[in-house]
Amino acid sequence: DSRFEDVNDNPNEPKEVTPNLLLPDIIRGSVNTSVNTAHTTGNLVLQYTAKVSFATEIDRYNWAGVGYWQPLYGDLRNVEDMIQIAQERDQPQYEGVGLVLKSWIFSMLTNAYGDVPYSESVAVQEGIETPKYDRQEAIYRGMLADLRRANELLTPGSGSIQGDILYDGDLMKWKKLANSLRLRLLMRLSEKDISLNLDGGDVPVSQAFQSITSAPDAAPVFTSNDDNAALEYLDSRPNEWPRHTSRIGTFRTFRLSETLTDTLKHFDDPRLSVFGDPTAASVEDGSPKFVGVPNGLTNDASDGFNGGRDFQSGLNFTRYYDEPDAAKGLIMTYAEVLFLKAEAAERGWISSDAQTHYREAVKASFEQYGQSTPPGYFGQAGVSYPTNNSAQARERIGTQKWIALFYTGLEGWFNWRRTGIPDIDPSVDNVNGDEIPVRFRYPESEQSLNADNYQAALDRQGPNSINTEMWLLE
Amino acid sequence: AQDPATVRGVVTDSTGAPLPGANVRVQGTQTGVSADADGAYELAAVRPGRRTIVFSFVGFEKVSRTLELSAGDTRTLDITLGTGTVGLENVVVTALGVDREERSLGYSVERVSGSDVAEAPEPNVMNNLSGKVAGLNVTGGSGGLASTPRVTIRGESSLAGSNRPLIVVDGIPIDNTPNTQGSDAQTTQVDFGNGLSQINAQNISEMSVLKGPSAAALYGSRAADGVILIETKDGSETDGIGATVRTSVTASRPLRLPDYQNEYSYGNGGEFAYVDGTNAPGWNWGVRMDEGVERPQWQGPRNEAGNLVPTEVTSAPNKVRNFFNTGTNVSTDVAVRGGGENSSFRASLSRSDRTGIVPNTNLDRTSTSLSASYDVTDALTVDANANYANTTSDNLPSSGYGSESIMYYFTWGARHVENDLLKDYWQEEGTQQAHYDRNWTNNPYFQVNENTNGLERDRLYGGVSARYEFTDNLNLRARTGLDYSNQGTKQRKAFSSITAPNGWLQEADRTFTEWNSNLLLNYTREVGDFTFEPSVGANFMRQTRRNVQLTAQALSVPDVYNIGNARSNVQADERDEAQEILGVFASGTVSYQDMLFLDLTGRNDWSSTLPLDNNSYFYPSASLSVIVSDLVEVPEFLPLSFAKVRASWAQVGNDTDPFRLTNTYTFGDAWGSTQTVVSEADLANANLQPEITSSYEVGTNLRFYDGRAQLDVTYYRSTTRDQILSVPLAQSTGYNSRLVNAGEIRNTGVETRLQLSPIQDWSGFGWDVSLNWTRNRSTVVELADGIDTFVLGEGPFGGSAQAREGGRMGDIYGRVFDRVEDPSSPHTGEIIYEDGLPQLTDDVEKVGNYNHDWRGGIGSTFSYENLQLNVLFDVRKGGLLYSNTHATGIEGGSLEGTTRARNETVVGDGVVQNDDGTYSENTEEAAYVTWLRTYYDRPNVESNSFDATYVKLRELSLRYNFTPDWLTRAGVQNVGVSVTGRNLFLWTDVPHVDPETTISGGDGQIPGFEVQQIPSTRSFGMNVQLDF
Repeated sequence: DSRFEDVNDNPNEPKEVTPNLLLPDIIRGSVNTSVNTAHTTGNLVLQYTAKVSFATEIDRYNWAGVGYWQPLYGDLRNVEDMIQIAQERDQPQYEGVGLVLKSWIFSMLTNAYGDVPYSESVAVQEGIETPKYDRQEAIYRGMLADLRRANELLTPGSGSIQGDILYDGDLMKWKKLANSLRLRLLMRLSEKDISLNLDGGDVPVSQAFQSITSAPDAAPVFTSNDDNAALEYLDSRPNEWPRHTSRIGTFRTFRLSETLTDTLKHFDDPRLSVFGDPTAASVEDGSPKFVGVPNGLTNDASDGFNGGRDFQSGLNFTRYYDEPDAAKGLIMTYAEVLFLKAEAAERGWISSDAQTHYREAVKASFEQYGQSTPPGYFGQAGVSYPTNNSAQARERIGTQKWIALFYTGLEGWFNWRRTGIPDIDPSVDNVNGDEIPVRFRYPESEQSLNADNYQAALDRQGPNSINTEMWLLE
Repeated sequence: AQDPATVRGVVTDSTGAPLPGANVRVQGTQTGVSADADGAYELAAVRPGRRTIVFSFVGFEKVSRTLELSAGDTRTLDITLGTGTVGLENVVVTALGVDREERSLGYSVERVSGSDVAEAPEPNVMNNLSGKVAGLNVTGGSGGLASTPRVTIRGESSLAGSNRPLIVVDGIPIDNTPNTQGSDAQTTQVDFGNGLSQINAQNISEMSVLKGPSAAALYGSRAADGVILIETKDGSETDGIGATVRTSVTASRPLRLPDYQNEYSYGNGGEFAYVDGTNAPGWNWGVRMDEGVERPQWQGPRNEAGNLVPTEVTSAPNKVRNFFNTGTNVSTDVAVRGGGENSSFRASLSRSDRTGIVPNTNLDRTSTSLSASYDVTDALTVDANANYANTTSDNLPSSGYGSESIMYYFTWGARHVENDLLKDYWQEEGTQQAHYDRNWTNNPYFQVNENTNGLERDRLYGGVSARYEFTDNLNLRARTGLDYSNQGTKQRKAFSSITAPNGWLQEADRTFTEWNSNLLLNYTREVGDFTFEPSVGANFMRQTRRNVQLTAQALSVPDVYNIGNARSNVQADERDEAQEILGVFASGTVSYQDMLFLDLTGRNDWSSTLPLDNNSYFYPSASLSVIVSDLVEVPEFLPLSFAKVRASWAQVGNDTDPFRLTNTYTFGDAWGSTQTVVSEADLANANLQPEITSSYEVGTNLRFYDGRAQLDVTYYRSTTRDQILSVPLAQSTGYNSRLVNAGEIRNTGVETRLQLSPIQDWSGFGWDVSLNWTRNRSTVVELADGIDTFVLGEGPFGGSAQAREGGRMGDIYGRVFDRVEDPSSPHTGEIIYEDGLPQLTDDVEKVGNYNHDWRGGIGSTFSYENLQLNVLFDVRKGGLLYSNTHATGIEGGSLEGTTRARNETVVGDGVVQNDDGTYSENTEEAAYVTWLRTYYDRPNVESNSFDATYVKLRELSLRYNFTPDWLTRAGVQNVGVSVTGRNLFLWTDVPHVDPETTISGGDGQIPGFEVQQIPSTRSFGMNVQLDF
């Protein structure tokens, strides 16, 4: 031990930590990335919102870089670290939580990009500086296996956890989230003819799905809005709803999309005033009105649309900007689980009643936003459930699911890619040949710093374009 | 003791007139006299040996001569002192304060006398060196009063290091880290000034620039980027008691403001009507002004129903210029000095009160210094000096891109709203600002008066040294010195600020301490025609830094700026760092007949920041100086009076920052009461090695016509290898970077200096000219394995300064116009259009380089009797500047050049791609406004960048020295009155802004990007100095 060694011994920061210290920032970081990307990209492409004034390019499908890849892999660094420490310290409850988060984060990555580094990512300590890209199919199998493992690890008596800013240490809710995410991932494979390895051998996707919904004790899923994986923000920086700290002027350039506005107006749906504000001019007149903006106008056209921004509806300013803790960081909700069950029932994967699930799902969504379902809501054209027309039934489920997935990461987009519901038109002045984008471009840094593996992924998957169809969509 | 020697002679000026009162001293001792009325002097009792005699007089150039004195010698030495900058046998201070004759040096050292920087001192004295020294690159910053200039010597050698020279004051290195809060080209920042901003120019006796690592080998690692030595004034040139009183007043105005348009108002699409500011567009594409158009306006009249009554929209053409104040500086300096047989001292007290051009900004400095020297015995001399400076500011301005920045406000603010409407800036006192824009900007008066950035900084530096002469040819010097500073900053944002609706407060406390201790044993021995001067020494450096920062992201009670007023958790950051370096070194000089000099040095350092196995590194140097004109007979027909050639080679090793060997966890921001940590995203490296810079230089010094013309030329080449740098990792590894030894940067360059005295004395008239010219090229020879680019700094909107293998340091990359690439097409190189609009590339391309192709300075001194006129031009040729002001000012419709036919259409000059892949001329019309905003789109680094060539009239001063009889009777020896001007004129093709600017980025500052800088200033001053 030399004097110099002491001088260079960092007194400011610990060299070893416990899992509970790593957990809060993983949740905060990944949820914030999800919320921010929903705001800047996901809400636009699925026409919940529309961009006006300047930098409308993203609404016109000029997608350069999206800040998604780097922060999520950064969170995975901490997740892997937490899992490893949990294993060393024999704390399976943290390992279980870690696997849930790991699967959720990887699902965001692979759904957005296709093939991504998975098995070799976050392995620099083992000497891997250029991780290979795994096939999306392998990633899906890995995530589903990890979530099953999490379901086993997260059993009552597996210990308590601290630092849990999502569920305040309620392991049962984590367990439900693990299985609910499994439903989401399995449904995303609905068009893939593959078999999955369960305990009893290889089974089709539908059976894997059914094995969860039929075992509420062994594999519980969300049973009420209390189970929602929804981060409740605080009234202190940096723990607020992330858009609260964004620039006010920029926030106001995100308006309600004409697509969502017209749909909700058509249904006389009270969620419209949860999501958006009536136009400033109409409020001034004393007769509040909602006017959505078409997606993909040019800078100049968008600013002048309908006579200017005083005549356009914005996002709900109080809820999504002004109040630091009014909106929640949505990972997955009870409503989505019910929509998944409804679709599974409609597809014949499970035997329960699709219409019941559908209505419960819509009610859960209203309840989630503190609304009661308006009388007669389900009787309207476009909402009523056709029990004898499966295609139309799925259209109803998809439309309501789209509304319910407002601000839930990129889930609305991912779901639309699979189902084509809702049937949206490409944005008006798009620069993508009238194609709605179906993936994010890999970041340029991968091309320069992980060139060989990047190229191998392109050779498999196709060009690094926003129109390239990944395995899920093939 | 041996019998002393005597030196006597006469001191005259260049006309041969005696210089009564001229100082004559033996260098490094207290022995000295003043010349009598006939200019005659006699130094009795000079200790035998090799002695340097220094001659000086106010207003004249200091000259020194070295003599070899034997016991009992009596020598005659007549000296002529010139008024110009052409010195003859100059003594320069080299490493560790060792005085050397310039002729003996095998490497380049350039000096600037204190009077050259003290005439019109800037808050940061480095700005006063601009254009004066070949090889020294000073670029003014962007941050207002305390703005920190970027200083490099001989280019940039290090990819990740600071490339800042080491600053040494009276032998003690002092901290010079930039001190800017906020370091992102996309946000605002406040420049609180660096260490040099606390040095009082009036105390500087001389500055020496040691350019290469040769000159600096003995200062150790930190000298790899050169050294600037500052010697402060002492009392050694005084006989009896003397005093100087100086007072100066300076006024400054913006040198250059953007050219704004005055035809169209705030608004969008040719429309504007004020509602309540929530949908404020943030740009000036509104209605015609001054043409009778009436609109509801902010703070306009209201009718009985309370609705706004439309009034005419009129222009406010002078609002920006009128917003700025005339900056002032009132400073007073008092210095008292005294000298006797065995001792001397100098004490000074200074006060400077500055106000900035940005309203409500100021910077006040009080400094005091004391230096004393005492010959304890014949053999022992003790010196001590201490300097204390206190700098305070109630508010320093924010610059850059964001609502805290004044120029940002003027870029995006309404062209038609007069300042007067905004001056009463509270709508609800303390909680709600009054403003027409609730989206983007703060009311500028609210911003400068409420959102202040306060500073209080104390700095103490100084040291004690002792020199003991064991025998005439063996002496020991010991020195220990301290640089200590403590800085508190307090930054506030009031309720209703755009970025802080509930207010904001940040308090930071930084303490820096560095101790340096040296021992140096010198020996001199003559054998025949040879002189040997070996020395050995050791150095120990310990540096500690402590930073504590508290942030309240929101406040409970408005207008109370106390951290206890935080509305929720206070974010706290604390960091302690320590670093130690132990060095031992040896050097030896061998000279032959005072015309051949060979220097050898070697140093070994041990640094605490490197792994124990690799923490020792050795670096040598060698240099040779040959006085050719003494060695061989110069033919008489040649007007050559002196010729020297020199060559040197040196290495310097370098360590790294503390705590870079092992990874740790970083504390995150707590979630309520739940603490959190994050693992580090940058991989440490337990096997780091020191990085090594090797360089050589060759040069010559030629003097013609008895020194009336003098030419210095130096060629150098330096290579830095094994650089310690963070190279990026693929983000899919979960990490951002790893720390490695890699990369090689090569700098080559030429420095020249030409000094002329065309007229030495023609009826009392004199004229001196000094020219310098520098060209440097920094080449990226190699980067790390698997890395083809290294980002040196991020500019705004996607532009960046990069180092790529085979390229140059500081290449600027960004997106450019998409052009026809096919070389066989008749349209090769033309801009590709779609829908009538020019297209941008997806990828970044090289657009230029932020370094100038060459730099030069032209200084000239005209003197007529007691009147002296100095002029200095600073010339920078080439280089590229991306202007954020230009890009956003066009986008916002605020600048000149956005008014042409706003409602018309244009057909842009370019081509469109046909279906078959060929190109044909673009014929599609586009709305002029859309075309313009697309053409100058922010990420377009091509269309928003400009050739950064400029010429500045850097200095102009007129000085008059006189001594009326009635003042002489009052004890005044000299009265100097001067008027000065700095940065009086700027010539450049860059529109709107001063191209001399930097932004925060990387480890300090990067040039090449302008982001809403605080305008630089032009200043005029007047000084009166009395010497007693």
